[in-house]
Amino acid sequence: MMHEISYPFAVGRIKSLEKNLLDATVWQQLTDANNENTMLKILKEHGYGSQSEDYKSVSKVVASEMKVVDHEIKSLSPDPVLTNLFYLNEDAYNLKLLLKGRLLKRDVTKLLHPSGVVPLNSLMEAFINEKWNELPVSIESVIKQSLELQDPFEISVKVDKAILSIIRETLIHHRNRLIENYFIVRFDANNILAMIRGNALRWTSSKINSLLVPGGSIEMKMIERAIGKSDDQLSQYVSSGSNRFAYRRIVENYAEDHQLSNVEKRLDDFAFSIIHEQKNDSFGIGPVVNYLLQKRREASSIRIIAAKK
Amino acid sequence: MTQGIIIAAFGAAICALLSGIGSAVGVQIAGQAAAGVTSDQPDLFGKVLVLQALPGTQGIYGFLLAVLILVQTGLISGNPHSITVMQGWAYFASALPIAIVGLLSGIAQGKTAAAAIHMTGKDPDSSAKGITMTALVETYAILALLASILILFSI
Repeated sequence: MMHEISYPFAVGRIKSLEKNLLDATVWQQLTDANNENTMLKILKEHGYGSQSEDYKSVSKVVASEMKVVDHEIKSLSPDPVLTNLFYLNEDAYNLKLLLKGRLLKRDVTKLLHPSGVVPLNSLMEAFINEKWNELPVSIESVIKQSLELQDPFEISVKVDKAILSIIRETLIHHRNRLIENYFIVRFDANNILAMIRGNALRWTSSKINSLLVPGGSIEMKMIERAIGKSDDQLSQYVSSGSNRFAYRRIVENYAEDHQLSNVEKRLDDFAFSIIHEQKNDSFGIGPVVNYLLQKRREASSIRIIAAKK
Repeated sequence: MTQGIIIAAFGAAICALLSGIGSAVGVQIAGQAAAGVTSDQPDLFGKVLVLQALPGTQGIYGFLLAVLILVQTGLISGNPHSITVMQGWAYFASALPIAIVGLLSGIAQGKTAAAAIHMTGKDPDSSAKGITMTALVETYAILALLASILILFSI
């Protein structure tokens, strides 16, 4: 059965919503604000987080705004299978928390993220009753694979890899060139970061290998060869595939500044640029995903500015 | 009624039919975009309505040519002229430019109108630019209509 929402309608609505994105003037005002209260005033003036009941903390206002955005995207998406892929990270976060909470016998319910694909109530109920069969098969499988693990790090690795595997499988059966290209960068980013982080922390090659995921444009054997190499040698191991010039530049920059957070940001910017290029496609998923990612980046920037006050 | 008249009648039907389908699809595409924009900005209804209406002209052109064929062949008055099979095919041929171009340009114009409506949704002041861009697609429907009329009146 065809989904009832068409791309022209969804993109029309997104274009109207895009008008509410914070512009350069507002960003300057937020940066110049003396404290969090001034930031809240500026955000309120521009209608940011207008649905928030509690306008006393920036983090709550941001959470309220993102709740509205998530609801909008989920109700508006002409292809929910594709847009749901962008919420699987929240599911991964929730699963890791719940599995680690179960392992360490801690209550983590207050820390859970509300916008995953799996409704929070179903997820919490499944963990309380230890009954997984009412969850989606793919999520049930992730949980079953992780139940016996005793090391929180291993749980994180297992869940992250399983979620990336769900994304890869979904894209095999539900093809979309733009979303495929985006997630190829995400898979590559996972592997590049594992390589750099592993080398920086002098992890064993088996530990680094356990973090690698297939599906990227860089061959995994190239990443494996880079293990143990010095920072200025790393760029030659990412110089394959269609995104080689971007990866090479990012890894070369890392060899100069040695800041892992900068690598993460640059890879994230590169992945975002793939979606951003398609923001004006009136008949594709690009504008919908672009809006979601822009709102997430906006939320993240507001939180960073607030944290510095 | 001669065989030539039946072929000419098919020509009249096909130009109204195909260009009408082109317009209907084009207006539908633009209408979906307009609905998306006005669901959040109802005040833009007037601006997006003009854009939504633009792909509707192909249907009018097809209908116009159908009426002209019916007039030329006497079908509209109920007293069809006696025309040969070759003349019938000539009337049919006159219908083809607007029929085919009307179908394709109606859909193409609908897509352009949708993009222009999206542009208007983000920047309401740019609606005039959107109308100009969308109207350019119209050029080819007008040329096709002219070709159809020239063929029709040279029979």
